[in-house]
Amino acid sequence: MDEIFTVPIDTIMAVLLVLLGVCLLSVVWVAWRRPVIFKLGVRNIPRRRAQTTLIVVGLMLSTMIIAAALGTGETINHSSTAATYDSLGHVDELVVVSADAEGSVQSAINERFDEATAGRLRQAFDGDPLVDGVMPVLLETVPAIVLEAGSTIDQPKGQQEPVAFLIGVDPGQLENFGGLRNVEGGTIDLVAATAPLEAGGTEGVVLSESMAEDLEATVGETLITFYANEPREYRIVAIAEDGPLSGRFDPTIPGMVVPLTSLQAATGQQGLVTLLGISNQGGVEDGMDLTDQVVAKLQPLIAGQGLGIDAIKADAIEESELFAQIFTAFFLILGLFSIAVGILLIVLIFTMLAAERRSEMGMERAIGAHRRQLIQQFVAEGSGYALLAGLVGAALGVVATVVIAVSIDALFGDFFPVEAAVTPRSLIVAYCLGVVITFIAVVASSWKVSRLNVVAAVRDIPDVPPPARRRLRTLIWAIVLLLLGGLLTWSGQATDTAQAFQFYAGMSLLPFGVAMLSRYLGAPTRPVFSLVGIYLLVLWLLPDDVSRDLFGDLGGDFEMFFLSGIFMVAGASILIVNNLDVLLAGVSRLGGVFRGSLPAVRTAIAYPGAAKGRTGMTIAMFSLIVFSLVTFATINQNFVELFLGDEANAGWDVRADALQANPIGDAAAFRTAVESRGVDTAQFEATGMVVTGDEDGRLRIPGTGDQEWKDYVVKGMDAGFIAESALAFQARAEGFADDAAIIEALRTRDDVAIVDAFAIPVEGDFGADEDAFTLTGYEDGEDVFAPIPVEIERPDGQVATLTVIGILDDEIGSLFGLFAPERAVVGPSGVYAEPASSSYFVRVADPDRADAIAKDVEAALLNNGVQAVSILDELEEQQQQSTAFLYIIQGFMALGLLVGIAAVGVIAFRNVVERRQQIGMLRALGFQRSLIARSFLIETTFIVGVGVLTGTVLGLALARNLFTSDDFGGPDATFIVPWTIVVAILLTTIVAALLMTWIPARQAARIMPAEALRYE
Amino acid sequence: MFSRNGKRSRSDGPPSNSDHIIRADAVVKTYDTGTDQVRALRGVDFAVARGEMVAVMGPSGCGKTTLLNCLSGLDGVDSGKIWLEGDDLAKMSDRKRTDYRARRMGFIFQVYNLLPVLSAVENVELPLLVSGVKPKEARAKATAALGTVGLTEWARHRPAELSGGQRQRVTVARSLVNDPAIVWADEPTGALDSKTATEIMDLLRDLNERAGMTLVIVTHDPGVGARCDRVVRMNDGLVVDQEAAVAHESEAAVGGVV
Repeated sequence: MDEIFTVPIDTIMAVLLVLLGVCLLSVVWVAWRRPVIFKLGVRNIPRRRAQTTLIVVGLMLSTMIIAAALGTGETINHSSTAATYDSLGHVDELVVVSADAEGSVQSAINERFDEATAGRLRQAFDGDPLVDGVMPVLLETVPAIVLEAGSTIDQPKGQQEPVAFLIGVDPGQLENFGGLRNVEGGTIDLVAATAPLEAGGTEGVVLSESMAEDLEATVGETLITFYANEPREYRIVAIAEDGPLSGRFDPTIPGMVVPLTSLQAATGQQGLVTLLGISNQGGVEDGMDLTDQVVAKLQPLIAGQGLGIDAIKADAIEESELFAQIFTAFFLILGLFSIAVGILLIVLIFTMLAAERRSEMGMERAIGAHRRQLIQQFVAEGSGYALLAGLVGAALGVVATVVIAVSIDALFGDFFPVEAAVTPRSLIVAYCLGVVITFIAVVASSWKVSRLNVVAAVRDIPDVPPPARRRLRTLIWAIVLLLLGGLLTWSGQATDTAQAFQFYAGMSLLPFGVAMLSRYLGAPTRPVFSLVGIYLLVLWLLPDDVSRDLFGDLGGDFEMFFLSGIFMVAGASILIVNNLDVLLAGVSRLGGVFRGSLPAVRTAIAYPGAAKGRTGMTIAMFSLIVFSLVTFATINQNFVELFLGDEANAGWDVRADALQANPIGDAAAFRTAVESRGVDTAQFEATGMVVTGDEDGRLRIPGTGDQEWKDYVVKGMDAGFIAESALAFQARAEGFADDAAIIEALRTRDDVAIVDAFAIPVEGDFGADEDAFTLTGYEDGEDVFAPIPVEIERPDGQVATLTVIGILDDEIGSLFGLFAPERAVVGPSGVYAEPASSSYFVRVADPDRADAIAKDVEAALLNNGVQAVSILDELEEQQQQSTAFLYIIQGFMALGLLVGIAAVGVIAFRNVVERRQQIGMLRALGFQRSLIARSFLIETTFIVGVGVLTGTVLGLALARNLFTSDDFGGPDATFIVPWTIVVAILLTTIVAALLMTWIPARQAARIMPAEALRYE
Repeated sequence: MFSRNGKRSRSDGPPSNSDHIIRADAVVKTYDTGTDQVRALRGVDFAVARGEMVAVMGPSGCGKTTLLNCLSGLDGVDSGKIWLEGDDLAKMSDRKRTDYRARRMGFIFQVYNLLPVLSAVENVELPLLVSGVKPKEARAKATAALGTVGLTEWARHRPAELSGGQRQRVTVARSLVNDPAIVWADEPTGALDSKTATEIMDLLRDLNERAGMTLVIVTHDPGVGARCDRVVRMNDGLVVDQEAAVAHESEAAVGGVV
């Protein structure tokens, strides 16, 4: 992975190394020139080991999060790249049938062209240093059965694979592509191995290793395939390593290989090929570097022949890099919450350390130490923690990366194997960034704490700055915040593409400026800052349509999630802290409920009110993390419900997908075929068929200025599908009064189409595929729109036009693509001559039996290579995978809770020290040890509870706003609160916080009253 | 032997065993500082009669605070015996001792030791809540106790908002709110100016005389000692002397036995 947020990683690393160097040099300077100050700082590190450990745990999290995010990106990049190299081997480009110079193998998989092109190209590249191989390949998708003993070709039984790739390759070119190797590493002579044992005998086939495993096949067994509905028998003669030469270039589809001439003869396609594989000079990885040059040389050679070039490897690697960058950005943005909490912890820790050493620092100033020397002392100490925490964080980041990789592999490993990969570069970046962030926070905190009043510090009395100085500081802050807020707000609106991030950041900072100005003018703190808190909550929780009406349509991306969290939590925390006494009074009034614990409750809730800064920061920490977790979990749960609702399957229960190698025919033929093979069709209430014209159809909307072709799947619906589907539309074109009108148009006209909801363009769609087609011109949320013409490129380069008259409802999660009547898509008057594949839909009488019926259909139509599924089961499985993946992300985000829990521990340990004498007095008054401990635990429960509840409420509120906005479910969507997850988050957090407080609570309980009270 | 108001005369010697609310025999307490062993108490005999107001005086480091801590159960002893109201302190578990402190003792310290996060009335009612008194009743008693020390209108103020004398009054109110048998005071006037110190001692004396409260006061101040029934002097961990305090002219004037 070479870039993060479009900035080269090498540049980031260089800058960070320089910054780290500056930080370290400053510390080294202190150690060299001010050794006493340095020693005063660092001697504290080994003094209180428990506290040091907690501090390191809290500080290491930023580094860990960054390391894990970068590591995950590297892992995805590595795995995706490795998968590409495994799948493609030495193949760098493909020549396929295409109307354009840029071809797509997906679109051309059913097309054929003259094999002679291979010879011409080979001649053209003979002696050329760019290309070392041109491989003609014929590819068919067929079912395969390994015959078990006793069964025959007419009634084959055995291990089955409904869909497998059978490829024919030119044996003479194999060595240019790395050679066909068996699993022991030896070379397979394809011609010799597959030749019949006697004249007219059965030919041989070489299976890929994964296919042999799937079918439990061994050399010598008989394999049956079907083509054009006719069986063909092969002997399994060898098992080859997985790779393109053995037909396995898709991890989900097994492959096998025979000589090209053999497959051409068997399928009646003599002299024809599906594609030409081009191998550039060099190896599997470095050959790709010549892609641009090879493409430039190839294009004139194939111009005008209806052929195009698919730079498949370079495109796949580029996609891998992009995918990895998106992943990294996604994890980094999500990790920002934890990093923000980590910074709060640093500030909290150093504020508390300063409070602990206040008298010491006062005495140092009294005997002549300068403020900067106090800063140097703290920086020396803080650097020790930062450097150590960075190492721990980087190491744990690697562990987290491995855990994430293993988890993703467990979910998706069948078609996307994932292997953890962390590069030294990303670890260096993570370490440097974590240390630099910590260092900056330490310096800022140290600067603040160094500004103590010497006398107040020495006497350990409250330090109240003189009123004049306080007022001046307030005024300065007011001006700074008003200017910054105003500037950001203006810039957010002023640019051509209005930016939500700047605008909302500015609008959120402005009230702070106003509040500070109000304070300067004498307004009391509580109402002023309470209003700030309320304003922030209202601003960020405004319904989407109200925001648009007030502020216009602002472009915002995924980073808005982070910004919303920061300011909503800030607003809520400010509101709570400024009205803590009201909250505490309410808790106190529950006195009668607590009975024996009442004295502990009284003291427990009194202390947080007296330390508002500390309390506010702790509440904010927990709020922020819980907010992010709850928002994520809630949105996920609601989408699951949306896409798995009753409407998701559009009224169908089973789908059977068939490829064209062994065609079945129309829906009636399908029904006949399954009936004739023993399936009870009396259970079929309705059948319909959808053909796929092109998986990678090329679409565009004329007159929009963007005339580039975009990819989308194009499908044709037969009459039965149109009539029997439960199609519902979230938007209709003008002139269509209701859903029935659209369906009638689909039934009767050849020029109309409908699309699924994913085609709706979304502003700031994070990670969106820029090559994917979207319905430009349609405004999200509109119920009625002007009919939208869509141009579709035919295979011969001509353009067909269909008019989109309806957008499917979000809830129909099983239909994806542009759908038109079948005759408009395939056939004499259709866009495509032949379908690429066909899907048969069945509605059954008993939906609970859908899975069993799907299995029956698949078994019955094995010869046709049909794969059948229960649609609802398929959707559920996809959602489960999606949900499981989101759990991984939530686990990553929950790492931030560690910071909060570390904070609780640091505060609790600190409280034991600060309140030592008070604890002694409480024991003298009659507080039992258990009551002292209980007081600490209740205090933690109160603070953490408020934080967690605040985060939960905010998370649910934002999730509700998002989900019921027009961009998603809409105002009428049913919003669900995932109570199980919410309660789990709440309980886990509070229990973990209590466990962390347990040790200091016990320490407090064990304080000997006499010792604690001694002051002589 | 007894003055006209029925109390023991200050001129009498140590009370007999049957009068003792506090009794200590040969108490030894040693502190281990890591490098040294400090023998804070080296075999102290001590006794206080019910209703007596006793001052414990001596130079810094003589062990008087240690003695107070040991007698009140705040600290343990190495050897010797301590009885409180006839109960052997050594036979009480920590839980029982703590409970005993809650119900039968009050404490007044030099550094007020009020909880800064609670108001005056909340500080005063704490011992009652610990003893299981219902919140409403505890609040009423605490308010009454503050009234006794003249601080009713300051009930809702936090210690930071009170003067030194007011804080010590709150501490006094807290020490007597649960009608203790014994009040322990360690340098109760140590952090106060002379006028305020006199006011506090007047208060304590008044409580002792009116309510018959037993008070043990550790002090440096001879003026405090002079206000007590008896002064016990310590030095180097031992009781070296005990004597009746000099009688007040007013006591003598009303005919108390001198």
